[in-house]
Amino acid sequence: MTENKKGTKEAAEKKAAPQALQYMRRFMSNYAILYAIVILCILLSLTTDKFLQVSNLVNVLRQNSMVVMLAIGEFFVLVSGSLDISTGAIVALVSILFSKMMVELSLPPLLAALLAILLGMFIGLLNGLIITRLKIPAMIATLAMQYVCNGAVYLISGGYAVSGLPDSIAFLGKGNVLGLSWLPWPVLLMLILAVIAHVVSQKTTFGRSLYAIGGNVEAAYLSGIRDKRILTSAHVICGGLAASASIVLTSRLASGQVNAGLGWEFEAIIGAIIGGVSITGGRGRVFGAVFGTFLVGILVNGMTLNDIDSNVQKIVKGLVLIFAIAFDIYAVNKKNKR
Amino acid sequence: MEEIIIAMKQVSKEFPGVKALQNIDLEICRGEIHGLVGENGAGKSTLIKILGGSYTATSGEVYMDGRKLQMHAPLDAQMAGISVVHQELKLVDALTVMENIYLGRWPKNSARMVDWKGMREAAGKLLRDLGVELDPEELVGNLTVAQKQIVEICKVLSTNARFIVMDEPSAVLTPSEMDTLYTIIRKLKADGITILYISHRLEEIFALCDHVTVLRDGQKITTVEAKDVSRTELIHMMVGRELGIEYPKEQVEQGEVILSVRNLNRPGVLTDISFDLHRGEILGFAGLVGAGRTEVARAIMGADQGATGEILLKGEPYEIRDVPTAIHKGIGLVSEDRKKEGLVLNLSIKQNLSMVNMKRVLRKGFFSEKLENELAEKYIRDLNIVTPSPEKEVIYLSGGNQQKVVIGKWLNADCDVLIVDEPTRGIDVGAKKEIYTIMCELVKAGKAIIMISSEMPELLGMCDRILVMHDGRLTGSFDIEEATQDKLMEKAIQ
Repeated sequence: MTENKKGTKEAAEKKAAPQALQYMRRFMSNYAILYAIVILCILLSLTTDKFLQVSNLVNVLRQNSMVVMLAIGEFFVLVSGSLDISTGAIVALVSILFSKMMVELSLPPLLAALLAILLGMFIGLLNGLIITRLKIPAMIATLAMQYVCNGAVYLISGGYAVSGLPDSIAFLGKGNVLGLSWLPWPVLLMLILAVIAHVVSQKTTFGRSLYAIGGNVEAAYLSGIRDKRILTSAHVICGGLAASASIVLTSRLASGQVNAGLGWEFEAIIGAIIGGVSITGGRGRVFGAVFGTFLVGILVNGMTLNDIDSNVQKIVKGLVLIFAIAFDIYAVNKKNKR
Repeated sequence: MEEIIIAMKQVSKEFPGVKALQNIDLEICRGEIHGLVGENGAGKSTLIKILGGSYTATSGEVYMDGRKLQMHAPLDAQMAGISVVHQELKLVDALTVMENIYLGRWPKNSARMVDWKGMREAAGKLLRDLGVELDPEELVGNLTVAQKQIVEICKVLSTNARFIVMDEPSAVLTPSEMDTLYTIIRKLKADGITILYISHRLEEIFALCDHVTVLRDGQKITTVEAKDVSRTELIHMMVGRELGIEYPKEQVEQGEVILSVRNLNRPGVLTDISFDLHRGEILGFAGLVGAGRTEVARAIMGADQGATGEILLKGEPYEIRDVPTAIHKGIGLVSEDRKKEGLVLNLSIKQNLSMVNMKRVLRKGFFSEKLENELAEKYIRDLNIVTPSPEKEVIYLSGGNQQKVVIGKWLNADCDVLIVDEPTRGIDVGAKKEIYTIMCELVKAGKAIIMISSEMPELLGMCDRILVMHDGRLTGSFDIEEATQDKLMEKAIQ
């Protein structure tokens, strides 16, 4: 009897071990990008002592968590087969308006933040409606929106930064949670958003519908999925996340800046694609986009520590994007050949 | 004895799992118009593609003027003097008539620039020779379909084709445009050009052709002189397909009318479609490709804009709105093309299975892995889907298993009316039979099925009643006892 019990217990343990292994394997195959991050970190730690210092690593996390928020937004639109290149400009517009709401209208920061996020979502809504109703390709529609936002930024601000923000919001950008030096607020916020986005994408009908319309919009439509509504919602989320990133950035800079978020849409898109979110839609995961963006962030940090010219860095980023997309398209084609 | 221009000897073409053409012997005389008829899937397209150089025959030879042809690409055929006028015209709308005629072969002058004058003259001569009034400098985008077809014919003539294959040239033409086409074809014949003329409209075959060849299931049935054969005989030769497999059809007591369609219209596509569907019934829709059967299904499903009609579903008025509404009311559609319209190929079996009715596997608003796995395992078992795991992406499954996933996702939606459009296309016999069995079980459970199929034996084997469509209208209705392939075909080609 006891022997028997012991036997089953052993069997259970034996079974549990491979299951954990299987889980690990599945995790790593979903996030193969982590290998690349580890390799990159090793390389960088060999080239400079500064890289592996805790303060540097925390700084990389803090600096990049805002771009990661944008990348999570790009995840939503990319996976549903769309794209948003207006997110960087949304960051700037929201930064100016968020600041003005507090400085000139003396709105309480919480209300201003709420309105700012609603503004971001509204721009996303416009993007979504332009793409689904006017049937303008996402790339062009959001490029136009980038211009519109950019113009609005300079029109409203006159080209000047907005300063004099209340001190009460500074913690969002600069502070650490519970004073823990390894856990800055932006990082925590980013993690919370990422976890929510992960659950939404994996566990809700909305999330599943995103993958379905990105994978095959015709089949999704004939399965009763309201494809236009889903795609528009993805853009609304993307806009909202860009606005959230902008609030954190504005708090960090303690002012509204006209060039806030300049070029971030690009880094967010590279990050998402390197992290396995397919440019052709229907594939990818939230944490893939998160890790991919950090990979780019680490790369930039490493180049800066090694005194590589910022213009050279730009060239490297552009090449990395081409490489990542080429690889993505190669992988998709290889699969579809079957 | 007339002179043979084209001879096919023992030509076969195999695709993985399918013999599209088997040992075809075909001789076409110089200067004749030779008709080619056969049902959907009889092998006409394959034969055309072999003659046009798009396909290479698996075995057998093609001779032209007694010389064996080695064709590996359409250009080889063109060089030999063979050209195909395709059903879908391949013209560039933004270019002029003459530029299209000489597309990619624009004449050059001594300076290696395009010789516009020479091109204009040559194109004008081609058009005049055909007796057509058409400005060589008109934009093709401004032309009617019939005029475009003439441009296509000129294009073929400009390559000095001696043998022209015309693939259903009349399919898109109005009766008056047909007359022009007839005149041109007869003119070509008078000029000594040989034509292989493919059409579903038998009256054209009789009006134009000297000989007519009948294909069926990839085999040549016969070649006869057109004047020696009657319309009925021809239809009989075209159909008469072997039933091949046994159908697991069971007699099911029919219940009340579940779907009543009156005057379903969609401008330019469907005209006054009316029918009743009963619980326990499998109602067949026969007709040729393009007759409007799929459009009926999509209209009822709310998938296309602009359809109107009075529909009663389970005794209550049903207003066509959109796909989610149709699904909510209990209508489902297993669409024709599973890869394009049925499945999200990069999602897993389990994710595809739950797609139409995701609510069923939710717990408190979130997907429950347990419920979704149970659902997937149920359908994998019930439908005998062969896969190592429910997590497998459907792109890796065989056609039959993919089709079962599509059917499974609609079973999961628990529809009362299930429309299946070509449910067994491109899948093996075993899987076909399994799908028939599933259909029988559904009607036994009091559901109703509309079955659209281009395979008449399948309709005759599975349905209780068969409606026939032609050109967007219902042209016939047969109880299964009185339906034969000949009668269905007669109504389908009008």
